[in-house]
Formats: sequence, structure tokens, C-alpha cells
Amino acid sequence: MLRHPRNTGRRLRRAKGVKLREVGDELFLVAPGSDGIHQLDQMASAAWRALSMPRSADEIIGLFQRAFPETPRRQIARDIKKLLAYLEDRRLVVKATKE
Amino acid sequence: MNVIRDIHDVFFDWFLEVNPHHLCLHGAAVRIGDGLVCFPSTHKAGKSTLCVAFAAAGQTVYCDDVLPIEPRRDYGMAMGIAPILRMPLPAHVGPSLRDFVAARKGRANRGWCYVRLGQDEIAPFGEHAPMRGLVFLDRKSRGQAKLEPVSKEEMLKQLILQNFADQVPPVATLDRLLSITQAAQCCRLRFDRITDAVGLLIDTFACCHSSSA
Repeated sequence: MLRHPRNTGRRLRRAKGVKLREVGDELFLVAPGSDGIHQLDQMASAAWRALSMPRSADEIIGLFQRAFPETPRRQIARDIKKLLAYLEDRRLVVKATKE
Repeated sequence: MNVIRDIHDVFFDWFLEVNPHHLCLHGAAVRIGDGLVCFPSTHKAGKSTLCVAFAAAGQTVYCDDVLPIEPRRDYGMAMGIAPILRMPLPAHVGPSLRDFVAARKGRANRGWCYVRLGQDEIAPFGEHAPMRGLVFLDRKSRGQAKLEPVSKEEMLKQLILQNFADQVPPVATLDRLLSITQAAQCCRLRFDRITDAVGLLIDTFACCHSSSA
């Protein structure tokens, strides 16, 4: 759950040291120093893959909109923002400017 | 009875304290042939009754509630704890299984009864066996019992949820559960009659000596 609105223009990247296992279409991740295993569904896994280079929420929303032109942008934006907040809260992604 | 069940919880806490490299899954397991078929915990799916039915059919019960996974080869391990059934037995339990349970009735109260399984009906504490099958139970279906494939990712997700050993680092936990999932046949058993379910699983796994998906 978002505690406060986040800037969708700032770039995020994958955190260093995240361990990843790919099973079928889904990813299972462990953040460094974490005691939890996080499973990403297909959409979340696609967003994670998109973060192989630093990208902002707006850029990822754009990617998804091009991939799913039938889906309303508002819905994609809501889901991506929620997902990135989840990943950031669990230290799986960080701001691109610093670790 | 409730005190005994509380002791089970304490026992598993102690077990994991002195065996910090073991994983521990909520679920039932029976040995069919040379390997284990594990039923990850699903609420009120009837896994304890199914376990006792396997014993009645000549197979060996490993557990009806908690399955430790040893660290050397990730084999399932028996704890030697008798299964416990909710009483009265459900209406769909047939007369032969009722007789089997009645002949082995252990400690009981109004709601629950231990089943005192004999030698070869329950594996002794410490016995190990490889995991051959991981099976979700779906008892609601009508008609003949059938097995449907389950994706590795769905099964792995469930094993992660059902593992309550928290001393193994998460990456090691993930890799070990993934290895178990990759090596085992993963499926969902839809069934109505217990005897059908037992027969189908024995037919499927009794001759299973190698990993398959």
C-alpha cells in the first residue's frame, strides 16, 4: 500500500545483490539481507525485466501501454505504480541515482 | 488431546531448534513405492483421512500434518507421529476404512481421534525418502478421481507458503524448494471417493523411480 504518492518521473533500477530464480513465466526474488522470498506474477516479472536498465514509472507505463493497447492507461498506471511501490518497499528496486 | 496437540507444536519448535538446516512443510506425506507423495496443506481437504486410507491400502504414512525436509539430499523425513482424524468420520468414508480406523483407535476426545498405525503402516522417526510427487487435493469434484498437471511455479509458491522453518537463509530455502519442485511430478487430484483417489495415486506413483513433470 502506498503511504504517499511517489514521483513517477524518477528513475528506478534493480537493487544490487537481489537473487533471482525464473520458474515458468514467473520470477522469485530475494533481496539482500531480507528474510522473505517474493514471487512476481507475469506482469510484475515483465516490469522487473524492463528494469534491466534504469526506468521511471512513466516509462514503464508507456512500455505496457504499447504492449497492451486495449487496456486503459489509467488501469496500467495504477497497477505499475502499486507494483513499483511494492518492489521499492522490499528493497528489490532502488532509485537509479544511488543504491 | 488439546494438550497433546500443543505438545506437537512445541516438539516441532524444538526439532527445528536442534536441526536448523531442515525445512519444514505444513502438509501430509505417504511413501508409495520408493518415494514420497506430499500433499501441501490445504484447509479441510481431508489429507489426514487420505493418509489413513493409504495405510489401509498397504502404503506407509510419513506424516499427516508436518513434513521435515533434511538438508543433505532434501529428502522428506518421518517424525513417527500418529495421524489424527476429526470425529465422527465423514459420511463418504466407506465401511472398510471405518473398520480399519476402529481397529486402531487411539487416544480420543469428542472431536478428534489418533489412529495407532502399526509397523509398516507408519514410518519410524528419522526414515527418509525422496519426494516423487507434490499433489494438491481438491475433494469437491464429483465423478472419477483424476490428476491434472500443476505448473512448477504454482507448486513452488505453495511450498514457500507452507514452509515454516525460518533458520535456513531465504535463498537457500528457495533453491531447495525449487529443486524439490523441479524433481517431483506436480499435480492436482480432483476426487470424490477416497478409494478412487488412493487407487489412482498408487497406480501413478508406485512404479515411479525417476523424476518427471
